[in-house]
Parts: sequence; C-alpha cells; structure tokens
Amino acid sequence: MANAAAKKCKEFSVTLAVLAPDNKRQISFAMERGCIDDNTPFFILIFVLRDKTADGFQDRVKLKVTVGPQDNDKAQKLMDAGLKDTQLDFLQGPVTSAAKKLPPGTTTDKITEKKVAQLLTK
Amino acid sequence: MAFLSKRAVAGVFSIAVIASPAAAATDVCPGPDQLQAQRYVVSSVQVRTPLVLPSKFLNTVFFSKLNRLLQPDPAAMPIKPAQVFTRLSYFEGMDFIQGLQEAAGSRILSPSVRVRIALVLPSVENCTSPAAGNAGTVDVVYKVYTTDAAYFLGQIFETRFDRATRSLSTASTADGRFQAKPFLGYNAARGFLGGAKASYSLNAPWFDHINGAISVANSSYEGTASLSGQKESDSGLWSHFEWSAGYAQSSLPIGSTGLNSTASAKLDSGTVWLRLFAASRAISPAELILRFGGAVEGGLRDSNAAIPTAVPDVVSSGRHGAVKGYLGTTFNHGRNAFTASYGLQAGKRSDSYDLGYIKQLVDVAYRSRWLATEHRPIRIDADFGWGHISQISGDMPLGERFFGGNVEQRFIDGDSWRLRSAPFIRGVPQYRLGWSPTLGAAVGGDSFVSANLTVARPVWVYPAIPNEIRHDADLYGGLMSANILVLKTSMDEYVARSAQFQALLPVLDEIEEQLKDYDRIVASIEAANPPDSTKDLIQSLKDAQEGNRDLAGEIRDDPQGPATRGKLRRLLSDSSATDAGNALADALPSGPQQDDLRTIGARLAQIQADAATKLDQVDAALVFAPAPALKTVFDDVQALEAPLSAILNIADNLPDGVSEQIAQEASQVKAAARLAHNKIPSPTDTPRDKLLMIDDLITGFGKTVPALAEDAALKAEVLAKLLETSPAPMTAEAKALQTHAQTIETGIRHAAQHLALVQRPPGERWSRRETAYFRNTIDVLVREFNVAAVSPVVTFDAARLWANPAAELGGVHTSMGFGGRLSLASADFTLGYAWNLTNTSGTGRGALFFSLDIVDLFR
Repeated sequence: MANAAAKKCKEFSVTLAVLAPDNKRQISFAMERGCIDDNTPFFILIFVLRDKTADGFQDRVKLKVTVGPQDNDKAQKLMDAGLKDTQLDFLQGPVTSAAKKLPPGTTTDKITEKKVAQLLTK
Repeated sequence: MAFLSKRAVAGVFSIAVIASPAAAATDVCPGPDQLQAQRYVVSSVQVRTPLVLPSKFLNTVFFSKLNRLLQPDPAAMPIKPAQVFTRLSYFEGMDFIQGLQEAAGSRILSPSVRVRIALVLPSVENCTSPAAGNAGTVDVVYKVYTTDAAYFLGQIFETRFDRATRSLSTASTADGRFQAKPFLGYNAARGFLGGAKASYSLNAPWFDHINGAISVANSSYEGTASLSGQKESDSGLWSHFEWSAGYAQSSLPIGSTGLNSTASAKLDSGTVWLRLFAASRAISPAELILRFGGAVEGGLRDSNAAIPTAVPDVVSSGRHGAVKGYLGTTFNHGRNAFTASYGLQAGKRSDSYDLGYIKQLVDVAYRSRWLATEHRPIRIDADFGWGHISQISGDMPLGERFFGGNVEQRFIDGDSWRLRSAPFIRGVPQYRLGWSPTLGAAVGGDSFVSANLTVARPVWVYPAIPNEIRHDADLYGGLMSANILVLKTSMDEYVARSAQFQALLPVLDEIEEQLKDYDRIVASIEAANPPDSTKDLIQSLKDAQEGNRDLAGEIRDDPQGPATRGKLRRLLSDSSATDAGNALADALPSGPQQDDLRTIGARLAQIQADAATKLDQVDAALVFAPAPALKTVFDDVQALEAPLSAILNIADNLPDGVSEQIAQEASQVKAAARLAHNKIPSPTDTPRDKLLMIDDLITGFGKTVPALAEDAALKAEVLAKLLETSPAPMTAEAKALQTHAQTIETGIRHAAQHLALVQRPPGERWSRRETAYFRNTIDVLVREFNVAAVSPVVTFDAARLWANPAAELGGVHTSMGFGGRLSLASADFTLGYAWNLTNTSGTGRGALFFSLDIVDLFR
C-alpha cells in the first residue's frame, strides 16, 4: 500500500562552489532533479574542478551525467551512493570517447545516450 | 538594547516580506502534470531572488551586479511566454538558470567569497483556468536563492583595505573603474561625522589604484590620498604583496576635550608615507600565515595642548619621522583563530634626524566560535595589547605618545594588517585616555597595556540552509556525493603525482610506436588505391588513432593533473584503434599487410592490457585499503541490509488514513532508510568505493551529516513512538521498527570497532588532508552560516597607561558595555554603550561604541 504522504516529484537544482585555501582551485558540484511526471524523477550530476591558469580558471575535470528516468531505483541508488569507480571510469572512458566524436552542436545521439544509460548497470 | 534588537529584526523582516511573491493568483494552480495535460500557455517567465529592496534605485545601487548575474537573457531561455507549458521546458528553464549559476560561481568565487551556494526552485503562479476556447495561462517563476546577496550586502560596507585584511584579495572584484562609498558615523570624541571612501582603478605598471578617504565632523577631520598596488606570487613562501605611497592629514581632539568644546586641545597631523606589506601562503596543517610590513614616514605633529614641565622631553609640536616594521602571524584551529603581532618603530628627534625614541608594540588576538547550537554560535573575541616607548635622546612630538579610547588606532594607519598602537577601551572617547588629572593636561603615556573581551550569541537567525531541508535525505545524499567526488579526484591526483604512476607513462611512447606502425601499413594500402569501402575502414582507423594521440597528448601536457589517471585509464581501455585495425585487416586479402595489421593490433592490445594491470597495482598500493581488514567491516555492514530493508518496507506500507504527522515522519524514515540502504557496498565495488561508502554509513560526515545507518535507526525509533501513541496504536509496526533500529545500532557498534582497525591507504590520508577545507566549508555553510542574525553583545575592557611618575594617568581603567549586533553574512555591525567602572575622572561616565567587522567564517 502506498504511503499516504508519498511525495510528488518536484524539480530543484542546487549548486555548490568552493574555492581552495590556496586560491588556485575551484570545486563546483551541482545536483538537479527533473520530473517526467509527478512519479518519475530523473537526476543530473555535474562536477567541475577548475585550476587557476594565466588566463583565469580553466576546467580540469568536468563530469555531467544524467541518470533516469528509466530504471528509477538504480538512478536513485546512483544519486544516493555517488559515482562509483566503475561508473567514473565508464563515464570518463567510453562515454566521453563517444561524446567527443559527436559533431559540435549535437544535442541528442542515441548511441551516446545508450552508453550513458549503461552507467546504471556498472 | 531590546529597542535596538526589535528595530533590527523589523528591518530584516521587512526585507523578507518584500521578497515574498505577490499573492495575486487568480486561480489555484494545478500541478505541472495537469498544466501540461490541459495545454496551459505560459504568460510570463520570471526569475526572482529572495533579497530585493523596495526601491528600484536602491536595487540598482546595491545589487546591479547581482541582478546581472542572476537574470538570464529571455531570448535564450528554453521556456518562453506564449509557449504551451510542458514539464520538459519547465525543467530546461531551471537547467538553463543552473548553468548560469554554475558559470557565475566561477566568476564570483574569490578570496573574499570562498563558498557559494545557489538553489533554484521552479514554481507556477497566477493561473487562469481554460474557458470558452481560451487556453489557461500560467506564470512560470524560478526562485533563485544564493548566498550572493548577503555577500554583496556585506561588501557594500567594505573598504578596499578591509577586503585585504580578511582575504588577501588576489584581484579586485569591482566591476567599474571608480568606486565610492559614502558613510555616516558617530563617536563620543568627535560627535557625528560623515565622509566617503573612494578608489579608482588604474592600468599603471606599479600602482593599480588611486585611493582616497575623508571624514569630517563639527571640529575635526581626517583625510588620506594614496596610490597602491599589489602582486601575487605563485611560488615560494610569500604569496601576496601590497605597497602604497600617500599622504594623510588629520585634526583630532585629544585629552579630556572634544565634543562640546570649541577650545579643545587638538592634534594636527600631516604624514607622507611609503609602505610595503607581504603575506605568506597558508602553511598547513593550522593554515598558519606569516605577515610582515614596513613603512617610512615623515611629517608634522602639531598640537595646541600645553605640555607641563613635569613631563620632560615632549613637545607639543615638532617634525615627525619614523621607520616602522612589524611581523605577524595568524592561524586557525577549527573554529578558533589566533593572531599575534610585534611592531617596532624608530622615531627621530623632533629637532634633528638623530634617533629620538624606540616604540615597541605587541598585539595578540583570539577569536572563537563555540557552536553548541547550530546557527547560534557563542562568539568570543579577546584582545591583548602592550606598548612601550624608550626615549633615546631629544624631544618627541606629543602626537607620537600613547592616547587611548574607543576608536582603534593602527600602527600603520590604513594597513591591511591590524596591529593596534594604543590602548583600546570602549567606555572612553577617542584619544581621551591620556589625560592626567593631576597635571590637568593631555600628556599621553609612554607605556600601556589593554585587554578587551567581547561576547555575543545570536537570538534571531536566518540560516543560509533553511531548517526544513537541513535534515533532508536528498541534502545528505548530495553532500556525501560531492564529498566522495572531491576525495576521489584528490586521490587520483595523488596517484598521478606518484613515482609509480609516472613510471607507467612510457607506455604512451609504446602506444605511439604501434600507431606509427599502423601509419606505415595504411600508407602502403592507400598507395594501391583501394576501393571506397576500404578507404572508409582506413578513415575509421585514422579517427581512432587521432583519438588515442589526442588523449596521449593531454596526458603529456598535464602528467600530474587530477584528471590524468582517468585519462590514462581511458586510453588503456580504448580498443577503437585495435578494432578498426582488425576490421581493416578483415577487409584485405590475405597477405603481409593483413598479417601486419593483426600483429600490430595484438601488440597494441597487449601493451594496453599490461599497462592497465600495472595501473590497477598502483591503485591497490596507493588508494585501496588492505583487503582482510576491509572484508571484516564489509561483512559487518552487509548485516545492516535486512533491518534497513525492513524499516523501509514498514514506512512504505503504513495504511492510508494515518495522521499527517505520522505520514511525514514515515516519509522521512523511508528516505533515510533508502539512503542508508543504497550506501551498503556490493561485493563487486572497488576497495576504494567500499571504504568510502562504509564511512558514510557508519561514521557520517562530521557533524554535518550523521552516520546514515544511525540516522535511519533514530528516525525509525521516533516513528515507532508516534505509532505507539497514535489514537489507533499500531503496536506491531512500532515494535518491529524498534527491533530493527536496535539491530542496526548494534551492527553499527560492531562495524565501527572494525572500521577503526582498517589502515587507511596513503592516497586517502593525503586526500583527506588536502580536501579538509571542502568539508570544513560545508560544515560552516550547513551548520553555522546565517544570511542574517541579531545578537546581544557584552563587552569588558581594561586599560592602563603609564607616563612620567609625576603625570598620574588614572591607574587602571575598566569599562563594561552592552549592545546589539546585526550580522549580514560576513559583515557584523555592532552598536552599544560602555560604562566606565573605575576612574571616571577625565574620561566621562561612558561612551557609545560602534564597529563594523568583517568575519570570514570560511577561512
């Protein structure tokens, strides 16, 4: 029986940015929740590490991963547990390689999306 | 003081009320699903911030930069007016604003803004229902809550010098070339005063700013004009340098005069200076920073005060010349900060350039925040000062002797480092401590000690992280996910910097050799003008080679970077070149070219596999915990899975009709149990993942996030009590919840004992040290940082001046004060009154005091 207080999915986004004590590194972490409908959430994780160069802060590590809405339990698990090593390696490996081959301006690509979806099984 | 607090609170509330969206909804808005299904049309898209002022002019003056950062270009927004509302575009609008926030964060972060948080909450308002062929309409509102407004508000009151004091700013955050900040003030010696501080940025090679400041009162004034510059150093001990050259002129009351006396004794000063200041980079683990500064100055000290003959070697007027130097240090330990400074001044005789006197100063300060209750820290500020003048020869100007009071005097006026040069006592008006009742004259002292204590605790707060989401499982999960990514990135950097990892990098040359071999074969195939299908396969191979070479190039460019380990692993797992080479071989007729391609492919795959194995070994040595100890604690946490699942199941299956309170608690229990359950590692996880997840489950994240298993158990117990005491008691469910909660708590104790025995790998130990600032920052942000707070303040001061034995200066002076403090993010405005407890002769009964302090909680 469903709980009477089951929450409806609500969109939100939180972004946290921190400057390291040596003033030379920034860490930015963002988490977004989107909703296909009231019962179907999906999540976006964004992690950026920037280092100071002569031209200002430049991205050194950048991760952006969308999980869900398919396989919701696994998506929620990824959000709760954080990105595991196998998922990070997969994200930085095959997924990034596939994404890099896409022409500039590409907004959707089924092969890459399929690879990202495999993240949940890692 | 109650009056002050009420007024201050009223001021803050008025901002909050103004910030609330206008309640002009014509109909109750359906949820986004219904809006989409009923094809509502978007009538407007708005971005609102929680802090606005009732005047457009004031908003422009105070928050124009903030508004520019927050307001997206309407044309670029994915959701626009006149469009049919869809849930996807509603989300994309939020995602777009998040992107702007992320970019803004990169620009806003600076030594004076070390942490920034932005929360975007979309909502729908002002719906009109569909009627008679007309579509319904809806306003889409994105509420953006950021810590920016509080910081910007604090910076409004900050001078260029203040900013450097707390932050060692590496660059001006000012947008424009000219900045001016008017101010009004009051002090008991000078009365009401007004003035302005201004700066103009230059592109000159040595000086990047022209600065000016002036304050004028009824019968006194102060003014400075200077050129200043600064430089950062990326290497070596010293990281920050500042220098300035300028002139200061003042006419201030001294002794027991001032305020209501037009015939007051005054000290007129004119000083030309040249100054240098330097600060070291933070030296771990206490973030100790060294500072030194020096100045050469000269000018006039002219007073109309009559100097009694009982005070020898002092003249009321004379030429001033001095060389000053100081050393200082500051370091932090948790929520405690210490500073200590020593200053030395060699001053010339008033009638020649010979050494006339030596002035020595010591200033020690301690700042503590005791956080017994979240967001309501007890703030204790303690200061101690000492000074002594040794007369060497000739006369010294009166103005160089010690005069105390409730305005802080700095050793090097306008310097970014605080070193008090006179006794500070809040019950005595500026410069009034120094009056000799026995001589009936302002003679100043040649030695002093002073001690100050300030205690404050907020009674009203507006936390940056609202209470309603403070203990939300989503917040816990997000903070822990962020922490894990920070730790892993840092560990990857540790790996990349290791000798073991660097020894792997020759594999890049080995891979390149194979790629060149491919080049050679491909050239020979192309020379034979192959069919188009073969050309396509060749192109695939070239693309794969290019990808490999790009990646190898990135690794060579940054061999010790935080992303390098990941890139190498990516290169070693990339089989695209081998696959493309083999596919090409398959398309060729049997022969040497085919054999060569397959041989190269096999060699390349073997090189990659061998290096990947070595990389695994590096990981195992540097960032993986020893297997046997980890296995024990891993087994412990597996035992938590069943009771957590059971709690999740009970909370998820309570019957309909339970009270709202029970339903809400059950929802929290469910979220907490789910989060803890999802933190239980699986056998296939890497040792690094296992240990990090177990940490979250058993230890938590300091006091910011509790141990997740324990949090789930505690919340289950709360729910059990509610179920037991509800009008229709659910005893069975309550008992089951209690049993499972106890099982979890027992399991946690076992796991914690075993976890303590796990030897942390060197990479983790290093990373935890290197990234401690991140967790400290989160802790302050979540548990302490307030957008606004109001605190009562209690002060106690004691000071004593000594002079020539004949010039009795009143012995020990003490004062006690009460007041209120309004804190806006990092800026504290304190106003109060201090009564003199002893020796009121010559100092009056007490004085009003006011201070503006910049407190950097995140340093």
